[in-house]
Amino acid sequence: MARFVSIQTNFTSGELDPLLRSRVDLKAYENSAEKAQNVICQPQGGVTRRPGTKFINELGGSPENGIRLASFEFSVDDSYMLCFTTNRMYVYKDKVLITNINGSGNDYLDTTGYGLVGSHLDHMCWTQSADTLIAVDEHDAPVKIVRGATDSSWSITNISFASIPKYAFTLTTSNPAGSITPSDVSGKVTITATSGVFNASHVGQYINASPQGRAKIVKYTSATSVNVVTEFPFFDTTATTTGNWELETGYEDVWSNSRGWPRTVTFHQGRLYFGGSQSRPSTIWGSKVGLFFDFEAVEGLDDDAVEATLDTNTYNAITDIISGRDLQVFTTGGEFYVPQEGLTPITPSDFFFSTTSRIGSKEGIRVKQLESGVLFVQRQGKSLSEIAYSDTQLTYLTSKISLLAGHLLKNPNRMDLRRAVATDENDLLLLVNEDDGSIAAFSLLRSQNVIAPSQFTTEGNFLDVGVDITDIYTVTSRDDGGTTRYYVEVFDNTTLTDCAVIGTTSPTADMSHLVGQVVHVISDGYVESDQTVPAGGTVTFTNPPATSSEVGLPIHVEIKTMPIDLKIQSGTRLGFRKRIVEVNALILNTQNLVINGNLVPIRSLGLDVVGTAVPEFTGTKTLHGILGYNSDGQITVTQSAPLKFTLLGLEYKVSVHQGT
Amino acid sequence: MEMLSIAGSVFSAMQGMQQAKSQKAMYKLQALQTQAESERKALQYEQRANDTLRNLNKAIASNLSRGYAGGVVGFEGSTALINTASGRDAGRDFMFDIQNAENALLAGTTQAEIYGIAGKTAYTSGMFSAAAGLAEAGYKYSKIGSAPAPTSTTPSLLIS
Repeated sequence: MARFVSIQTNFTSGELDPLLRSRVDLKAYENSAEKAQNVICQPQGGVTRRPGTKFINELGGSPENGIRLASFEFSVDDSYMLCFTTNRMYVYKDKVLITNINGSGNDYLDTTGYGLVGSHLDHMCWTQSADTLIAVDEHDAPVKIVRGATDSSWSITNISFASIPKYAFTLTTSNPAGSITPSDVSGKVTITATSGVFNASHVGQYINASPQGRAKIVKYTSATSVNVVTEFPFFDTTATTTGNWELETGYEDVWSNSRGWPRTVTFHQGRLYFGGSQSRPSTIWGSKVGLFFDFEAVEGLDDDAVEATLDTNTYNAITDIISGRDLQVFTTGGEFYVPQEGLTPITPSDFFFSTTSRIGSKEGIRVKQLESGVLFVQRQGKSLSEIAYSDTQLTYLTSKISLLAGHLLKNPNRMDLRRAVATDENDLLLLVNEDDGSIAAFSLLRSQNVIAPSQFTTEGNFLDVGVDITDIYTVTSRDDGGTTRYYVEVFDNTTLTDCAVIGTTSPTADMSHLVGQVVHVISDGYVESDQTVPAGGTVTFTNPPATSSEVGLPIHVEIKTMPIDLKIQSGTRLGFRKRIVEVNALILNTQNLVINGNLVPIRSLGLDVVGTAVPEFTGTKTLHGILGYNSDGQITVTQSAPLKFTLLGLEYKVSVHQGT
Repeated sequence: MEMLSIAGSVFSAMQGMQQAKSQKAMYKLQALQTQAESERKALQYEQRANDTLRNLNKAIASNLSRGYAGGVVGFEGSTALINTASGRDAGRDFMFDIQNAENALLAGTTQAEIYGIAGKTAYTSGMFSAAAGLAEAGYKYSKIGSAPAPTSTTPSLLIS
């Protein structure tokens, strides 16, 4: 047996798909891990324990039927996270629940009557302009949520449209008995009939005449008289006899309670766009320029309302539209954009689409914009892709972000992105997995082609995630005394546990939201024995804190290296028996570390250290005498306590048979 | 000498009659020319009206093709709106041209009628004038060799 020393210098490829276990030829193999649980990969190469979450409040409004987090930025200083449940909207600012909304005594805005209920929230889409958030879902009329003068002042109303586009879902033509006579051949014309053929419902319908003439009925005067506007002039003002004219009916508001409502929304270049509706899933409507609620298309002028229905060889139900470099449209059948050259605006005469890719995107998951491109989840939730514009090729290019970590996507249903704000951070894309309640966390630095996925798990399930500038909110379901409850929590860099309650000097902590759960207890940085939250929820500290305390659910941190691949002169040693003999862990500001089940001492034991916080250690910690041969030779790094942890790299000595 | 004067009057009257006939014929020709010109204009207008419809068809077809090439249904939405707007504009132009054609024909007919009336008037007045000249010549002839008649003013029948 020969001994070799090797090093894993970074984890910038994150957790690798098990399908790639034999791909030692990939560069990513050297920089990845078989498991990266509850850690975040840093741009410099290390992995650090993910932040814990702070408990904020329990949700009411039947959250088991549907919840939705939506961010809302009112101004530089005032940004909010909104959490919708059935008939309720909770408001959070700076990680705190805003209470007494509108002086009602409620900690939520009552949204009863506006349709934001249950499973409708799963498909909710929204956009924002100044103090107004517009929310849509295909079952309910669009609503306008407006922030008032204070953090606790909010209102909700249905959007009042100046005009709604018309569409003939069932086009019908009839030849009523009687002649009609136009007062003029074109323009605004009065049509007089010899018999009572008109009724009030004919407003918005059409009259077609032979040999020529088409006019839209704009006003009903009587059963024998209507006012029309010609779309093509009548031949003359003589009577058109029965059989030589027809009534074309069936035109109605394209959005209504019976036909459904818009499903996606965005602002783009002075227009409000709606993408898809329950009955017209492939149609996009844009308002008149500057008149956001006026969708009447009359003359086809450049600032007129626009409308187009996608027509390709696939079924394209629109799942999201965003205002990016162009107006981009995501559908179940592919991705499209409205081509514009330079500063050329979108006008009715050139409201067309080009295909970006044919991947298809999943309903209910909002597309996210990075500085490099746009990220979206594939239709069945099997992959995460990016569309980016190439200035050299002058077209959009698609790449698969989840190519090396597809196993982390387990039917994702929510996604949000926290942009990096410091040099030791990457952009962090978080996808909530419906199947197991985990979060797939993709640490991204696209300019350096860094894609480092990891997985967040918790005692319970993550249900939703939302980012308010830098604050990451999440909705979880957790067991509380045998009952499943739904909580809003926020990730917090100073928190080491989940669903935590942070205190100061109180000798007890109110953990009534986690009755029956085993929790970690930290007092002034010292980790006390775990406790089971008793009925009533009061947890009493063994050592009452003098400055700070934390009680919360444990976070299970684990990093497991890929099977060691030694490229020695006589060949590879991927699957041959080997033994990790010694490990040097390069760590930063770390208080607790376990390697292959062996606790690595961070400090020396002494009387003066009993009952005090473990100091943070930066440097190299060595573990000797690791026993046991196996074919993989992996190193597993975990933690035994809720303490700080950052692993920069692993140097190891491995014993392996050298011969052929 | 008097005979010579009488012969001159008769010749003049004959010439006036010929002139009246010529003027009538000229006015008739002008009327025909005007009618022909108006019909030519009307045809031009009708041709332009037809061109308008033909161009509308081309524009609609082009717009429809652009729509489908642009991945959208060409018979709906903005593409349809642009076609409707094109139809509205083209319809208006078409009707203008049809109206202009009718007006041109009407104007030509009216002008031709005016020329016809003018021809008739010129013919009638020329004939009257010639008849007066002949009558005067006859009178002079009847007075050859008789005592001179007392001097009197004779009202002219000539139309200036």
